[in-house]
Amino acid sequence: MSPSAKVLLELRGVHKSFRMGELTVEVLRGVDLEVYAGEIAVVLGYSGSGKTTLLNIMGALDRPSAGTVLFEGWDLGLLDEGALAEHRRQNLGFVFQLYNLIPTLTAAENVAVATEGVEGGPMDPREALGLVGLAERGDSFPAQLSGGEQQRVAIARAIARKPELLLCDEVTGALDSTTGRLVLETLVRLNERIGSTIVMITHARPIAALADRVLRIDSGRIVEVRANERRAAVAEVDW
Amino acid sequence: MTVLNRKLRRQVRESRGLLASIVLILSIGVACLVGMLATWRNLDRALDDYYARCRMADFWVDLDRAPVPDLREACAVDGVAEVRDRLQFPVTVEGLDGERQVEGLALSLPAAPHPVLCGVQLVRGHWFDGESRDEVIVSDKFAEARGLGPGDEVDLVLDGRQERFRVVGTALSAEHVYLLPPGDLAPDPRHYGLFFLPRQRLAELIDREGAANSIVGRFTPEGAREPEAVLDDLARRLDDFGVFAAYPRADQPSHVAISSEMKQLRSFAVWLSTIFFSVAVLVLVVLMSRTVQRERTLIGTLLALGTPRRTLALHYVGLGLVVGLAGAAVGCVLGQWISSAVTTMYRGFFEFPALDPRLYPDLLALATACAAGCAGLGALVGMRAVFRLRPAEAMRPAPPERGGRVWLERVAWLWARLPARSRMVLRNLGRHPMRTSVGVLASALACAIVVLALGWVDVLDDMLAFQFDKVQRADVSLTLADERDRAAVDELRRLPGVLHAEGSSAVACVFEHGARRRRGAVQGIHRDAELTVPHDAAGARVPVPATGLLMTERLAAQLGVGEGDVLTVREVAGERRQVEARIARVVQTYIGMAVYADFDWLERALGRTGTVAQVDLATGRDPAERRALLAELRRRPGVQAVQETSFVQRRVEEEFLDLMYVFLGVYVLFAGAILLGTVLTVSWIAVAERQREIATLRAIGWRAREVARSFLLESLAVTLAGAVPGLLLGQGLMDLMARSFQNDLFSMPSRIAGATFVHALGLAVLFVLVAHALVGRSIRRLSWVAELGAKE
Repeated sequence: MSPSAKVLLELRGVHKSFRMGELTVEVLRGVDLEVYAGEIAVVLGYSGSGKTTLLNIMGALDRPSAGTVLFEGWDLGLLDEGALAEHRRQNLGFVFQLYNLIPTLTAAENVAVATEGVEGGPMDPREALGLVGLAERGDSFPAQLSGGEQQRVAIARAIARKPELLLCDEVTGALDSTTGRLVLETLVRLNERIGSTIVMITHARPIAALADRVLRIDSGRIVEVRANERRAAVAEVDW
Repeated sequence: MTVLNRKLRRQVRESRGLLASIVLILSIGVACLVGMLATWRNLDRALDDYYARCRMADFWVDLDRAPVPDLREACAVDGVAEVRDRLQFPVTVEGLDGERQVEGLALSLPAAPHPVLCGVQLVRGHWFDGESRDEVIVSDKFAEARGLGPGDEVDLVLDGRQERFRVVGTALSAEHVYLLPPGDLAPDPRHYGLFFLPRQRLAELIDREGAANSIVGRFTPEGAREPEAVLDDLARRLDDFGVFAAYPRADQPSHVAISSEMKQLRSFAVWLSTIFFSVAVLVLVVLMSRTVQRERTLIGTLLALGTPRRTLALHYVGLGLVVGLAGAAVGCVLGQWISSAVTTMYRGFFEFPALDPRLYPDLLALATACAAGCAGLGALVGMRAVFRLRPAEAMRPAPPERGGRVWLERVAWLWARLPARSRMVLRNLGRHPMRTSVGVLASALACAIVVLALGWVDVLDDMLAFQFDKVQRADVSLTLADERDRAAVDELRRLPGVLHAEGSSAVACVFEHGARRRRGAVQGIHRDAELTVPHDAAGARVPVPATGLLMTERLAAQLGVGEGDVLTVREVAGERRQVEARIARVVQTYIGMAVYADFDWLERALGRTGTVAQVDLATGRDPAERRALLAELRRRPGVQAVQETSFVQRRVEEEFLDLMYVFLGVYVLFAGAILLGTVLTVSWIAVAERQREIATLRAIGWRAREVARSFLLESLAVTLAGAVPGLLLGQGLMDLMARSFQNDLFSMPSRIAGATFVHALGLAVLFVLVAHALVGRSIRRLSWVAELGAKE
């Protein structure tokens, strides 16, 4: 991604520590990074490296102990809880490792629950499901879907609001490689078709080949940022 | 301490909020049982003791006049063990200020203090010493209300003669635990008292020497088995002496008042505590099934490791027992407090020599056993599902819960219009039918209790409005000492301040229909009467027929007569004529059992000539003029009693409304406890189960209050689903209560106003909102970010 591209999200000197009994554990130790509009960025790190905490802060699910998070130049630290919720509702989409679908809602309703009351003309739930290849399964409950299908419903839920930024936490973590590949193809296709900015957090190194840029995190610090010369096709990736 | 016991202790600590909500429901059940039954026992003991000390009679016969020797001979019938003849006479008191005429009842007592049937218990002063002719013993409550004591003087007017008496003592009378002035609905110790005089002195004053006009007696054990038959026999033998009334203790006004109150206490204790215990069992079933589901793999592992099922089962029953015993402890303390407070309150309502709150260990043990039993049962039923599993099966996590369709989805056009969040609410309710049913049931019961509590105000309003706005419309009613002719009415009509006057006659009589006999009176009213206007049960005016009777529904039912039937009306005094009369219409009265007839027809039928016993007056609104008129009426010779309708109504409100509001408040709080306890338990369990769902919704931008609103909607949907049958149940219970509490003195309407249903619904919603203030706090405090990645 060229340095001239628009910076969507910027983290400056972000620290995050947690108190665990009498101990204070510092999970993020001064993270600086930018996410550019329209890119696919992969944050790569081992278990315990701080990548989920980083995603939580990028997604305004948590606040940093120190440092600044800017979204399109707005300092998120200045927003109260209600405004942060509104920011998540209007600008962000999330895909979690464990799908987090609501069991009492059908696939289409799971998408609809995220789009109701959202400004800016969100997609029709059926259209969003069509984009992830599940147009026919809209009336199925999560328990009637396979893991991959559930994850794609979660993606449909995330993109239906046409978010500026899609944050994906170990999206293939609970899936076999065939199903995982299907999910990744869906994400790449969304990036190509509708220009979604995607940040994927994973510990699976091969997935980094799909990204425009790869940010490696270790012990709470971004230790490497590199741009891929070209994005690999999903079919080329094996993990 | 075993490991499982340590686990139990930790579990209690961790789930204290949830357990507390069930403890709340159980404790109210225990409090109802202990509080009301202990109060009932306090009253029962006090009453038994008082009746024994005063030698309370088993029956009463009110007569016109009978020579004592004849009376004693007539009373020698099978089934009667002993009788006491005595004198009683209405009295007015002069020289005491008051908002109304001060009146009372003079009763004879033996000159020497030996035990007699329906004797009295001296509180202050001494018995008659026989040295002077002006001695009187005054009822203690009247003396207290008037600041009278031994040595003070009162002027009594008996049979038109005013005499000054010296109070030698104050006393309590067991047959007047609840003393109602005639025609009143509430005791009024400031304006109505009892005046006990030596028999001979009273006989002289009312010209009844050697005669009696009241008999009190006791049945033999055989007679007590058939009191109606014995009294009937006795009344027939006394017929020549003009029997106005003959009734057993069960119909004696004071006894009726206290025994209905006690009956109400006992039945409320039973059904209220049953409601609370049932809800507690069901809520505990919900909690325990959730607890064992959550610990399913642990239970499987322990079973696999060889822990006996019984040990594990006892562990979970132990959790139930902790709840049960905690509920019992809180409930016993609360119940004892309720009992003390209500018993103390009853002291102002009833006249007892001693009415003290006591502790009943057997009652506390019973309530504790009930609470522990219910809690144990709830725990056993709740854990049944998991304990049926084999260890290998139990060790595997439960299969993920499936979303399912609900019946409302069949109404496609409606379902399609519902937003996804509403569908989520409805499906969550459908997914947990047991929980939803418990919520619906709790709401129904709570609403029924609230409707019943608030409905009492409607019932009292309806009763007063019917009786005083429709039927007895006079501003002032005069009872004449002797029957007068119609000229007396014209005379009263001319008094300043009187707008209109109507005279009516009153004929004490026996109604006979086949084998059924009832004593009562026929009131002769003019066909164009505007101050006594019979109405039917639907509230429509019923014209006075040219011939025949209008009879109160309850009396008609007792006699087994309906409209068009003919019965015999026999005068009990005077000429003792009898007439065959047709029931023209059945009418409604809530106070007494009135029978109306056309004044002129009644006179003709019984061969009387224009005799007036009561005069109803419509008066002007000017207060000064009204006061002057009342003073004039009280001064007039021949006026035995002056009753001001607005005063009677005001007394009812003063006497009953405070008491009613206390009970009403308590019942509303009880209903609130059911709803609070149930909504909190069910909602907290739902929050605990759906933490991941909450986390997801928060992550996608729902605010905490939006998530909380979705849980609130679930509770409101359940509450409203239960409210509709609950409101109807409340009306049904009120109907049942109205039927069970009617007697010869009173009956009560049971129609509950529409506004009361709305208020009950509003209160139910309010309690849900209060519960959800706590549920919302739990949702706000949830560490939801951690839940996003947590494994199920």
